[in-house]
Formats: sequence, C-alpha cells, structure tokens
Amino acid sequence: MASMPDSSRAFRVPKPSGLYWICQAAGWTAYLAYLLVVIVVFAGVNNRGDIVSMVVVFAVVPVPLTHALRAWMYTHGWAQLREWRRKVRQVAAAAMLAAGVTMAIALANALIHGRPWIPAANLGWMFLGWDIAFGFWLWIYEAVHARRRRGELELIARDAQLRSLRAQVNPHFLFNSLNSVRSLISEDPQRAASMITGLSDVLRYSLASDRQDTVPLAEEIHVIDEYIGVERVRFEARLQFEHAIEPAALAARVPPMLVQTLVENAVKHGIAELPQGGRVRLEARVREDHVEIVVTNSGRFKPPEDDSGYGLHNARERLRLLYRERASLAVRDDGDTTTATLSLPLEPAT
Amino acid sequence: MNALIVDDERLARSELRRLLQAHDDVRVVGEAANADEAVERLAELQVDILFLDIKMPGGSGFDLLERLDTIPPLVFTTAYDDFAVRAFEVNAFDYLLKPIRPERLAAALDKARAVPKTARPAPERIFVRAGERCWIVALTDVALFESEGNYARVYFGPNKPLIRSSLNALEARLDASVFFRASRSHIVNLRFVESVESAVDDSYIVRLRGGQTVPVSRRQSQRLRDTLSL
Repeated sequence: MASMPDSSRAFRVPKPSGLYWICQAAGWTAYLAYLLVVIVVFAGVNNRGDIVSMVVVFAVVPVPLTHALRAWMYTHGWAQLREWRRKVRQVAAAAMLAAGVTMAIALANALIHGRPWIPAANLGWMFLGWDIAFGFWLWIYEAVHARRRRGELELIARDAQLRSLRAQVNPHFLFNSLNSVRSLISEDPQRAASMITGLSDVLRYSLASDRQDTVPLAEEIHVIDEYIGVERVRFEARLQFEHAIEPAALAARVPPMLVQTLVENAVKHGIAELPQGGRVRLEARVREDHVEIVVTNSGRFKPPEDDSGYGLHNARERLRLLYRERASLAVRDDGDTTTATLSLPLEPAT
Repeated sequence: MNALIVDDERLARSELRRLLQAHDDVRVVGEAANADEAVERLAELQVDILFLDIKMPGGSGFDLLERLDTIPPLVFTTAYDDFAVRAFEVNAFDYLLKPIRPERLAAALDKARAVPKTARPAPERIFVRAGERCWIVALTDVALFESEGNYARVYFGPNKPLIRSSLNALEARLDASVFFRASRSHIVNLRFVESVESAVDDSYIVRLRGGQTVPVSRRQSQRLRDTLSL
C-alpha cells in the first residue's frame, strides 16, 4: 500500500462487505416496522391494500435504489476528500433524487388508489438521510485510512530521503584528485602512493555511509584528515587546515559525511575560490547535553549556483529527519571568514 | 603551435604539459593559474591553442572568455563539468576530461591542426552567455546587435540571446567597416544587408538576411549612403 493515492482507485466502487448488507436489511426492516407501528397502531389505518402495498414498496424499492446510489456516490468521488464544491452539488442532487422518488411514489399511488400516499414522503426523506449518512461514513472512513496511509508513506519517505540525502563524494573532487595522482606518479611516486590510500579511505567511508545513521565523531574526523590530505596535494600551499577537538567530543555520534560536507564546503569556498588560498579550522566541544562542531574558513559564503548550496540544504534536511528540532546548523558570513556551527544532541538519534 | 595552459592546480598544469611533450609541434609558451593571469598571458603571447579549466578561483573559465575580445582556438579541460560543457549550443571547441587520455588529447590537437592556416586571420569569435546557455560565435555570423535597456540582443542564426553589454561598448570593439551603427539602438552587420528601402525624411530601412528590418536614423542614413556607394 506504499503507492501514491491515485484517482482511479478512489473512483472505483468497492465490493460491499457483509456488514453493509446486514445494515441495509436491518435498517430498512426496522424502518418498515416503525412505520407499521405508527400507521397501524397510532394512526389506526387498517386498509389492507395500503399496508400490503407499503410492505411491497419497502421490500422492493429502498435496497436496490440505495445500493445504486452507493455506486453512484463512489463513482462520483464521494470517497475523495477535499472536494467541497462537488459535495455540495452532490447533496443537492441527492435531495432532488429524494424528492423525485417521493413524487414518483406519491404519483403512482394517486394513479392506483386515487389518493397520494403519506408514507411516501417519509420514504423520500429516508433516501436523503441514507445518502447523507452514507456520505459521512465514507468520508470518515477515508479520512482515517488516508491518515494511516500517510503515516506509512512518511516512514518510507523518511528512509528514502535519508538515503538520498547522504552526502556522496563530490565527483569534481574525485576526478581532480585522480588527475593529481596521475601527475604525481611521475613527479613523486611516494606521495602518489599515499594519496591513493587516502583517497581510498574517503571513498570507502562515503560508500559505506548509508549503512548507519550515526558514527562516532572520531571516525568522521579520521576521514576528514584523509580528505584534507588529498585536497592538500591539489591545492598545495593554498590550503591550511587545523583542528581543535575536545577528547570528550570524540565519542559523540554524528551522521556520517555530514561534518565532512561542512569541511568540503569550507575548502570549496574558502580555498578553491581564493587565488591565494586560505585556512580551514575544525573545532568540536561538548556543551551540556549536546556537541558543538564549528567549521571556519577564510572567504565569504555566497549562496552558490552549483551543488554546494544543495549540500547544505541536504545536511539540514538530514538533521531534521534524524533529530527533529534538537539539532541545528547555522552558517554565518563575517565578511572575510565564514563559520558553520553544527549542534547535535548527545543522546542517540531517533 | 603555441599552447597556453590555464588551470588553478599546479599538478594539473604539469600533467598536461607532460602529455603535450609527446607532440613535437606543440610548444607550451605559458601557464596561468587564474583568469587574471590568463588575460595577461593572452595579451603578450601569440597563442594558437588555449587549454582552459572551467572551475578556477576568482573567475571561472567562462568569466575569462567573457573578458576576451576574441576567443582563440579553445580546448576545455574539466574534471566533471559535463553540464557546463553541454550548455554550449555550438561545438566550437573541444573538451577533455581529466585525467586526460593521451589519445583524446591527440585527437583534439589533430582537430586544431586541421583548421587551415591562411594568410587571412581566422574570423574573430566572441563568447555569448545567456543564463544556462553559451555560444562561441564568429562575428561574421552575427547579423545584428539591438539594445534593450542595459542589455544587447545578439542575432545569429536562429538565436537571439541577451548579453550584458551596451551598444557603445560593443561598437568600440567591433570592426567599423563591417558593423554599422544604424541608430541609437542598432548595430547591423553590413554583410547581412539584403536590401535598403527609403522611408520618409530621407532616412532608410535596412532589411537583413535573417528577416529583421532595422530603421536607420536620419543622421546615420547619410553615412550609410556614403558607405554603400563606395
């Protein structure tokens, strides 16, 4: 039932349940009994023709007619929520149908017996009542089901979203690094070899990052160090990196590749955009019940046209899905430096 | 062939330099690490082929192209910019994906060598960027520049993108013997003129091969008459 609700499903007429037939039979029998009591006992009608024709009418007319009405209601989208205009039109149509049935019965009676037949008016109103009651029932039933379906869908969507929001290795980084390695092979084989191991660590970590919702910060920082090592080969003296991590923060759990994304954004804006290069600083500390991770870089934060703005957006979405309002990510532009501050609760993610 | 390499990463530049060593007729005459340096090198060097990275600090490869009066024969080198490269409507250039395959480089050089070297200089080309789309357009293909506020609409082939440039700035850059300032808001390529019709007041209306009609101001009509009767 994970599929999106489509209109064809809502406009199909479902097979009626056993309960529906029982309600139909019991309801109309009870109504007939009530009318008989009223007419025979209280109104003192004892014309056998009248009573027999009433029983016949009640046995033959209401169930098929309301059953047809039910099918009509389904095919005309009564089970659809949020269709006010249509509903108003339908109630009007049902009222007219009820009036029409009343008139038809009264007219038939008048032709056969030479006088209109009073219970016919009652029957007409019963149709209208049936119609409204069934409509309400449908409406409530659908609302409850829609809510349950929405709940299921939300769970599935959250999972898929988390999966798609995982930061993957940026292809630009990957191919530029491979190009640098190719160049290093002849220039400095030793460095080329160590760059390949560093790059492998980053790739492995990135590819495995959808297996866990969170990892210890220590693991993330190890990969960030490897990542910076690779970027240093590309940017050489243009990239300076330092970190200050409180030992207590190392055990804090963070979503994988999230801090890395912040560092990568810092490198992209702080270093790649500055011809003279710049500095990236990573700090982590424990504050009461949360861990605070701060990434600072030289250079302005300009909401970029390329994918890194998307990266930040994804990071925020991931935080919202994992922690709801208990985590935050703020990016501040101080003119010549940019600071990203991430705050995560120390208790496990939901 | 004189080659200029523009890339912000030293290792990328030295890798390309090394790959070019296999081609005896190619000489790397310079390197640039950003757009500013590239503009300087292009001004002082005779460059037959330009290897250009797209993502660079302080101005992308596209920004560099927009600053040039004419675009030299061009090969983009890019790690993963296929969307940016695909933005081009006309394949007026080649591009290489990094790390570069020696065979692909050889093919790109063959293509550059195949351009016939005549006494006449190759037609000047300009870089046109409008939103997501880019063109490298030979000026000989441009029929008309039309001003729209602070922008100018460039008519070539079926395209007419807007570029951020005033007609006065364009006029200063263009060859006055080919591009004629018809009025405050039009510069026409005289080679595209199909017919000239006279209008009231001794002024003219120029009909271009692309189907556009351009009114010529009275003052410029006099000059047009002189130019065309020569």
